[in-house]
Amino acid sequence: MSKQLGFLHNSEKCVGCRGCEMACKNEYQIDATPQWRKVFQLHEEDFSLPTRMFFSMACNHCANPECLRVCPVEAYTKRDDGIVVHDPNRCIGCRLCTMACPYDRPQINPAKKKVEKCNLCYQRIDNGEQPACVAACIPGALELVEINDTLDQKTGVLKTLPGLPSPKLTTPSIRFIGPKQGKQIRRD
Amino acid sequence: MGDWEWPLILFTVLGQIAIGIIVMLWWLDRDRDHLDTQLFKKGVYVSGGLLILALLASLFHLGHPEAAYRALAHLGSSWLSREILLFLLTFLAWINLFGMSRRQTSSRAIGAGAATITTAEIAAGGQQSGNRSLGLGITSVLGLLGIASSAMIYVLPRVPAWNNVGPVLFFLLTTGLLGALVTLVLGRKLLHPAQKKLLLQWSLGCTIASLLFYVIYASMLSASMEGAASLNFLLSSPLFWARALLGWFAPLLLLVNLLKNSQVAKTNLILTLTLLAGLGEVLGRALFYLSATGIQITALF
Amino acid sequence: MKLSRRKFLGGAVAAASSITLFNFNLLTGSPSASAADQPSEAMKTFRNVCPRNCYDTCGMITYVQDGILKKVEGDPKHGYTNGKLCLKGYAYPRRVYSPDRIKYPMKQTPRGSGNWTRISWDEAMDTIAKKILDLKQRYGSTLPICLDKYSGNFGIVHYGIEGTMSSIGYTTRAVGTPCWPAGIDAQTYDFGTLYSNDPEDMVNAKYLILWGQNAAWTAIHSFPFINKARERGAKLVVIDPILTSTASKADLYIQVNPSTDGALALGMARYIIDNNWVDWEYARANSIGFDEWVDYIKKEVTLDWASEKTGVPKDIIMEIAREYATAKPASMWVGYGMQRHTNGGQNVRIIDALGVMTGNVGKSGGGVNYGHLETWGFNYNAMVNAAPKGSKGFIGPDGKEGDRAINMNNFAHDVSAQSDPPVKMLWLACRNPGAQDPDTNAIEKMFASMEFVVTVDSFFNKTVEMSDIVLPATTHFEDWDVMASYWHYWIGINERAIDPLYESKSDVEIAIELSKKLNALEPGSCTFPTSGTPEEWLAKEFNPGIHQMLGIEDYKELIDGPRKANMPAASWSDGKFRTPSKKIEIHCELAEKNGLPALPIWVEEMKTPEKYPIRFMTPHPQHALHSQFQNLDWMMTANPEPKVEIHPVLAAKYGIAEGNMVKVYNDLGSITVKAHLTRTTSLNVIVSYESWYKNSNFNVNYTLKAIPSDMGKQATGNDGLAFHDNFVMIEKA
Repeated sequence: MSKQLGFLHNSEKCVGCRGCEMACKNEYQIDATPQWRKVFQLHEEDFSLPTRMFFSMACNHCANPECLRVCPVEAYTKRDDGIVVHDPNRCIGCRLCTMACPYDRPQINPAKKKVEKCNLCYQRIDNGEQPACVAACIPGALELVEINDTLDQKTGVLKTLPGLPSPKLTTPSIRFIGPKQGKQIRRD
Repeated sequence: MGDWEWPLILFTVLGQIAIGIIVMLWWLDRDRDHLDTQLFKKGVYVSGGLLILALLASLFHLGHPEAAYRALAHLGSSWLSREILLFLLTFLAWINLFGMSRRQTSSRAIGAGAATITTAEIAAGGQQSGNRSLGLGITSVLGLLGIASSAMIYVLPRVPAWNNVGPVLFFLLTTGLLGALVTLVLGRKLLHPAQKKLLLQWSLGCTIASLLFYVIYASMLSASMEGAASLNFLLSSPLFWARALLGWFAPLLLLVNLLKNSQVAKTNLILTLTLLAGLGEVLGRALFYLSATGIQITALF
Repeated sequence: MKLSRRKFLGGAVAAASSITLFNFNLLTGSPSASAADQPSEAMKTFRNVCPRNCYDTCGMITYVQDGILKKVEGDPKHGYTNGKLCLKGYAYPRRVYSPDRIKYPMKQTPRGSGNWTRISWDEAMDTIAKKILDLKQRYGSTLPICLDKYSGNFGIVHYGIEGTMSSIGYTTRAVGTPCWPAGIDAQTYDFGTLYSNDPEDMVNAKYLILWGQNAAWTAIHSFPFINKARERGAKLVVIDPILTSTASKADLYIQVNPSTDGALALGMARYIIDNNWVDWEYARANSIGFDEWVDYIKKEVTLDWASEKTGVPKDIIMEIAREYATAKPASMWVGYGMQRHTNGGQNVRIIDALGVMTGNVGKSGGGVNYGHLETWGFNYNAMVNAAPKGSKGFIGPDGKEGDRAINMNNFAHDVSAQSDPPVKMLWLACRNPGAQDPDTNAIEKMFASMEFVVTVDSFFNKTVEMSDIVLPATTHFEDWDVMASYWHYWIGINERAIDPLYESKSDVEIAIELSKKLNALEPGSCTFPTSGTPEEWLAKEFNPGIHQMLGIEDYKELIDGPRKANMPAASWSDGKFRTPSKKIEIHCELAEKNGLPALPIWVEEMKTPEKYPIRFMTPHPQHALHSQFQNLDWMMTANPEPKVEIHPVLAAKYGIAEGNMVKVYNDLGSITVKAHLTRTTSLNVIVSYESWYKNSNFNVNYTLKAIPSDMGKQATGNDGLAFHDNFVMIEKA
């Protein structure tokens, strides 16, 4: 594999507007239930002050994708750029990948009885475009990046956030810039 | 928490009984003459029937059962692919056993009808018996590997309650226990008392092992947050206590009683015992799926 | 104890090795897309503008293939929304193709029963026209017919709804705006009208106060401009009783006591005066009554008082006062939430004065920004129809005959209070009072007393449930229209991207149908024109003023992209205020004439009643715009149920735990909703975001009294609503 594409999510910039979540739905007209991308709110207890802080997560295109390992029909393939692509034509709906992914990102589509997930808009990437979620992010909190040592050595780049499974499980291709809290004058 | 996975419960438990029967037949056949031909036949038929039922049940788990054949595509890393392959091979081996049982019936009929037994016939019988043992052996090994593969499917780093030796051990113990008990039921008129005793002792061993391992397993669960959640779920679920009663304590009492009082011939008790243990295992398997808690994003929706 | 996977793998691979000779990929080849899936037509794009009641009024590009809307995107030619939409905007395809859309005219017999039957447009129009004529005959005028229309679709052609009513005679009209009237009046008293800086100009601010404004949820496209200002060194301060998503991003968040914003601003003003950071030159040259106000502050306002009133420590008031007064330019954005109080307008006036005293009005990067209507100078052609000859109207206090105005913000009461003649029929369009009006029980009762109710809508919402006839409305993708914003300076055209779905019609088309029917039944009974294509109706809205403002000669030029009004970045930069005195009126005689203080002095906030000690705030939601959007399936998955946010300390006091159902109640009514414990709210304030969820009777307005805010009458006809002076008690349900 020559490289590993992934997401860099900046929780300092993200205001949890959920535009990415719906832009993803809009791009592929996804049915209601599978949520390829989802915005999560961090627990306020994880911070020194109460807060509304978020991260946005789709498939993490893991370096060690459990979905790919367990899938009996080879519906998952990993491209040279590291994108883990799920081919619904191959999927038989055994749901094993949904049990194996710690991020719950492959999800069953109850109507189609097949699993679906984010394929990192690989067709758009192949056309030189940004993924739909990244293109839709108004505060510029979501970026498509190459996951490598240079990125990891940058100050402030984190491999995980509170409330996320250990990255050791699947080596997800997502990095974070942690939330920053301002000063608060509170009445409690 | 997981769901009620009926297709998977039926597939695994029925498949394990089917293979358990074959393993027991193989074991009883180690001294060639000890395995009654009628029991061999019955065992093979019932095992095959259960195996077919199990495979059919497994299809209901799939969103697209019509494309189930594709599940063989990823032997390189998918235990599900391997499981399907091994079960299919087991089924092929079973077809061989089935053929063998048909031929054996006729040969025995001829032998029984003849006034004298020629040396040739004895030799042929010996040959047949050897083939039978080999056939049972191959089916057993393939089947046991299939069951181990089934179990390995659940050894997922994401699910601490499963990510250990537990699934393999419990699946094999189900095979041993229910295989022995169903064989006992099938051979209630065909088994020697010594064989019955042996099967009962084996069942007792399996039950004790199951209980012991479960205690160790449960005590290990609390090591992780998700495992502790599974354990909490189990201990607070009435289903779990029903499973403990039906699958462990009642069979233990009955087995000890049966062996102690040498009541190996008491068919009703054996039937009751098998039924209870079967129910216990079905509940246990349901709980296996229900209690699974995966490591997951704990941030708010 | 963990079993090595490799050991097992070894065994299985050995057993399987004989089989690997087969190539299983042969079995598992992916079926290719069938020829039937191939689209027959290339993708077309259309320009649309989101017509919702929202700051951002986004430019949209709609992708259409074979007449089917495939997806929507932001219009990259729109300089404020910049090619991006919000979550609601991206959910539009689900609105257009929602299986829950009202597809045909339908009638409900009896009203409220849920027993709906499909009827033809002809039957619908016949029924409605006969009822109108019947009422006119019985009462001698069309005044028993009452229109309630507001902000469901702010497209200019949608003013055809008002036109529908004008064309049948003089009618009763719900007048006012529930949203922002107190603030509008405040700025009208101070500056002559509301007129905010170009929001793109926020990048030039060196200090930015968002006062009761949750842009992250209600004006997300402003964030790039706010962030740009911050990158250039501006400090972001958010003042809000609730720690919103916007507030969570601020450099400084101040949790002010609700309804005391004016006291905070007065405290700041006192400190600014004490330190002589006042821009005397600007204030004295551009305003009247400034020194009088300074005297008031010196005499009446202390920092201790302000601190006690607002709950904000003195040193923080001093800090923001110093920073705001000395940053130059410093910008303030006054949200609509903070004026929804009994002293809301007055609080805005005080904040206005704070902007004036620091010389931040009329400056790029400054302003006391609330909203504007500068770009709304269309013809409103669809709205202006003379009443039919011989129409009898309502004689107003000025002696003129015309429509009878009632208060939109006390609709249930005012409809019922009419007796000469009484209101007998309601026409509702772009409006859902069942969900949005105060005192839902009163609304239900009032609707039940009507003879006939017609609603034009797209979904079976609470108001439709209380109607006799519902007419299916088009979505904006099915109409021609033009939209302006009350925040940014852009105007965009809205093309018909797809044909109207099912039997839906636009409001103008409905008016045309009704006019045909009325005139057939009684010639001359309706003046609404009976011809014109939707695009022709749109064309009639443009005039030379709009053309000049946008630098175009024909509306068709807007099909190439939205245009920004040719206006200076800073409002009031010419110093030509529109008050009677042509100056900023710190001392405002008009206010005094209307029974309000002439000066921006402190007016006491509404006191918390003893029996209901908890304030229930019901701000705008994230997944919805009022009762729109949340019912769509994508939204229901993303946000399946309403919650009430309760501070853990308050929750503990009432024995409420996370996820418990909580009954929120007062004398008017109650709602039961799931608790979410969070310290984002304060000790005595609970928060639930208004919305209409599918298959749910959740409605935050059951406990809301129709208490007016202090201002609104001057510019909008009626005072606003003190939505956030809603006091309740809670208990575990």
